Amino acid sequence: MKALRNGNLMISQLKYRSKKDDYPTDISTILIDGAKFEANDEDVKEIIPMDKKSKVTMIYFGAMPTRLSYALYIKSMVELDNGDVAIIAEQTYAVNVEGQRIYYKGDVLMAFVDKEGAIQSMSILKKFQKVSGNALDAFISVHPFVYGNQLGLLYNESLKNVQGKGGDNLFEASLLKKGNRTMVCYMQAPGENPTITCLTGNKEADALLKQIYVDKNRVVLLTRNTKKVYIEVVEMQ
Amino acid sequence: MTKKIIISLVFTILFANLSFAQTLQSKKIELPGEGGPGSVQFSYTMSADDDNYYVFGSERKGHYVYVVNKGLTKATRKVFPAEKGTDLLNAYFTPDHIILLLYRYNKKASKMEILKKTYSKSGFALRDQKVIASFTTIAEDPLFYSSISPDKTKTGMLFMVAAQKQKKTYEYKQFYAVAFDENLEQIWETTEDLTLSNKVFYLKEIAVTNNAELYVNFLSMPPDERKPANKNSYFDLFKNNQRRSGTIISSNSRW
Repeated sequence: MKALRNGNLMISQLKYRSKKDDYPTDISTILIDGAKFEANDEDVKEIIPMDKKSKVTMIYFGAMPTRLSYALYIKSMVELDNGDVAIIAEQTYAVNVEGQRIYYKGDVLMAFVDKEGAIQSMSILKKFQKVSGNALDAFISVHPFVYGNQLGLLYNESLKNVQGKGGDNLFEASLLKKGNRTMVCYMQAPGENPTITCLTGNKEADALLKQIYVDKNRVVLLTRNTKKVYIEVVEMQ
Repeated sequence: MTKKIIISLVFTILFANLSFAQTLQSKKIELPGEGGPGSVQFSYTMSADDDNYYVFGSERKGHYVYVVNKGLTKATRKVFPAEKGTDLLNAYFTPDHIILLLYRYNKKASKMEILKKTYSKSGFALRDQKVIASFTTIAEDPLFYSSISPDKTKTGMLFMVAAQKQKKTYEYKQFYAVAFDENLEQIWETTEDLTLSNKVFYLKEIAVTNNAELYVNFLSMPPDERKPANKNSYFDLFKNNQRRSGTIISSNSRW
């Protein structure tokens, strides 16, 4: 749920399919006009159907590669300076390899919705063919931030030695080395085919992104490892 | 001639790449701390003014403010020892002040009190402290949600109000909502029932607008239905503002 600058409210919600086809594939956005969303004192507790005063838009992110334990999460919503709202979602899915279920920390998805709730564009930003869960230890998190009318994305990627059974042969050798990366990605042209430029930042072991702050043309990152905390400033111009 | 053009092109491409790389350069500084501030538990709050970056962190023993100059050549730390009986809710930076929002439970009165402590940004001297909100509850640790408006001038907070305790679980049948301005002065407060239409409510999220209107998004269902049918959510929205007491508008829509 996101309060917009014009007083309206945007809610994103996963739309689940029926039990027969039991996995989520859609994200819906509901735009609520803040000025109209009122009731007289006498109307308290009166049931007012939401969709009379709201606009519902369904966003479909496309067919998934597998139906095994596939899940879709809405990670965040951010409003750009021009009023567009970017919805960042993440999908996670599993595959069976030699009888074992291997979890992938899947893809980062993005949709842009305008002030009226209409879809402007949607895209899969990044595909992560990486392991997560069970005996495997790796994660990727996405932190969006607003930079004027453009969207910044920060991927925090933690990769450790792959341990446990199975899965090793599925991944590129370069992904198996120990180390962590913080990547500041700057989306220069939001749209169906966004151009994303990334800066590889902190490479220290166990570094985690804790906070992002945008200060004019700088993105200020607060990162920490087990012993130390750092301020890292990225010039965006 | 062709050779010159090729060399010129190569240099142009190289220069373009170099200049682009320069646009994404980063600098880094380590924050000082005894025993390593890596032990800080609370999520951080950041701010900036013309001269400095400010980072607020908190752990069990106390709270910290780090001041880092924009050239990233100097970082200092100020410690605020934790006071017995109070716990931190959040920290805010204004142009001149650092504000700590804390809570403390008054057992005799069965009241939860929200305490605001204002420190100067230069010198960290305590300028003011007062209780800015309070409500009756039997739960000594607050179950709360907070939201900051898009223009950062309003803060909305919602506390679940417990009136009964069954075994080790509190029963929440009311909530207390309050809105503050940018100086954390109270704009309005209200206590509302959660017993509409005999439904069971689960709080999902809240959002506050620039006009200090608070939206609360509930997942609701009949008491005999532990999980929403087909996993789809039933939503109810609550909106409140300073002009009128809270109004629950039940949508009961399945999205």
